[in-house]
Amino acid sequence: MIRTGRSRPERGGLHISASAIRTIQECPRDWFYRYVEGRPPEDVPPRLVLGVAMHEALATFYSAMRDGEDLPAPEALAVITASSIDRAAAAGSPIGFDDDESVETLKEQANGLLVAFMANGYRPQRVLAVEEPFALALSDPDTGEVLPYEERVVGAIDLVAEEDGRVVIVDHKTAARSDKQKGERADTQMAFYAWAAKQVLGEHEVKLRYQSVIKTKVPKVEVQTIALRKHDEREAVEAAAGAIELIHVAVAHPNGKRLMSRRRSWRCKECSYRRWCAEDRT
Amino acid sequence: MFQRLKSKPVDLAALRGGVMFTSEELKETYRRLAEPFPAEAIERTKAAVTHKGYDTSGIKYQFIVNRLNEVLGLGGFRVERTFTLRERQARSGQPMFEATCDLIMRLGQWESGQFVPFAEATGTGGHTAASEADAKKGSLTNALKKVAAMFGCGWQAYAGTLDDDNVPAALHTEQQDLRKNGNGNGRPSNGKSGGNGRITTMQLERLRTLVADVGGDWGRYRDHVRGEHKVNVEYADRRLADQLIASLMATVEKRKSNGGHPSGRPQ
Repeated sequence: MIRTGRSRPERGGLHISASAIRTIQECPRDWFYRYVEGRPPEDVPPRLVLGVAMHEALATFYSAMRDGEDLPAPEALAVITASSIDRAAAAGSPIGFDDDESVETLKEQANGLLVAFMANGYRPQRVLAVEEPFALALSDPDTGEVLPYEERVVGAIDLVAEEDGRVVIVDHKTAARSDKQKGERADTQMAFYAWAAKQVLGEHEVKLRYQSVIKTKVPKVEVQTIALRKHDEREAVEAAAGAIELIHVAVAHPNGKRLMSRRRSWRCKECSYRRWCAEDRT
Repeated sequence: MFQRLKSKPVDLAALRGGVMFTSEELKETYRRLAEPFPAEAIERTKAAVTHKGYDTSGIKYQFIVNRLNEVLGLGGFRVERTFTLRERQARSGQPMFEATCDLIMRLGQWESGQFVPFAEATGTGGHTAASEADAKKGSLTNALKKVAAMFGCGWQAYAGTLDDDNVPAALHTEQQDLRKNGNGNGRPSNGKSGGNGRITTMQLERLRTLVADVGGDWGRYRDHVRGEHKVNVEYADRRLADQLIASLMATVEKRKSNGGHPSGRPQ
């Protein structure tokens, strides 16, 4: 018996998302600017805008499947991606286009990805839920012991499907290139989804899949089954607990920003705070 | 927020020979209840004693009761209490008692052998102790102070942090267990905050309630805090949260004294 919607997020309280945890792990200073200072981004990477647009289109597609409605035509999905991109362009922060990029090229890229998705996208036997939200107290994945944090772990599972009577959790990715190794292990976000699915859906065994819509010259779709290792969920919970502890220390510290130091990487060149970060001194 | 009774069970005007509480009288009663307490009424407990990870402060119980008697007159308030008691075991094996007290307080006057209320508030207090009697006493004290604060009496102690009664050091492990079980107060102490860690869920909820009470929009309020204090309110520290709460409460009080009405939000 699949039950959804048992743990609707209560965003009013203290919470942490897989995205925030990842940001803290990758660059604590980025997290500080974004979450603590609430600094508006200097610009938004086009790949994020495209990713959001594709998520909206795929959510519409799978919602129609879930509700037994006629599946939307590619043109209808293209309207959704175009609208999403237009909204991003009209929002406060500009899109960080390169010289040969624009809103129009982004829309064209989305159209190409949609064609690939319509031709080869994942088609489950049954769709159970789309963008299924959860807000859960952090608990030990083995013992179920609730850990002593006020923060709830929040998120939304892109797609909950059913195959041969088993629940499948699907995370949509918009990727620049194919990554055959991607399915070899669950990332923190997917490990959380597995952990959350057990509690939200009452399921102990779930299959995990990435559906990657890939921006190659000829766009394509790859659906990969993810091998969830025994310790992945534990590591995800540990990552969340560690992030929460860090947050508490940073907030309480007279110079929390200094504690949340920069972590230089390839991500810096498209970081939404790169100019401010270069000037900022703690 | 205190809740004025919507339907009066007794015709106050008739009982008082045609005299009702005027709006000005009610405001004056509130003002006197809400007046600051003297320094000797404040009890402060260091984090090392409470093991909460931060210092607590409150107003001594007897000072609250004295204030109610002085302002309302002898017999001018009445409480109804309902206790729930749970027996637990400390890790040491020592039996413990966890009591909660649901309390209704009514303000009013005795007329011809009948208590005639004009305002009512409810609240819950809790306390854990090694004896049943101490647990019940502590929960009653805790509940009464919280409910009295809803009428303004001792509100200063709750301008942000709802301090539980002081917990003896020997029981702190037990208290931590209670927090783990989700009593809403639980949070780890990082040991470095000096009583000034991240805003609590209760503080955040209090802020949301107060913003709603003054008719504000939460998103705009967040923007305001970010603009003024360079921090998202969800990542404010507790001291700032206390300041924000006190500021909003002052706004609420100012509006009331300017002729506005309390929200009547159910407790």
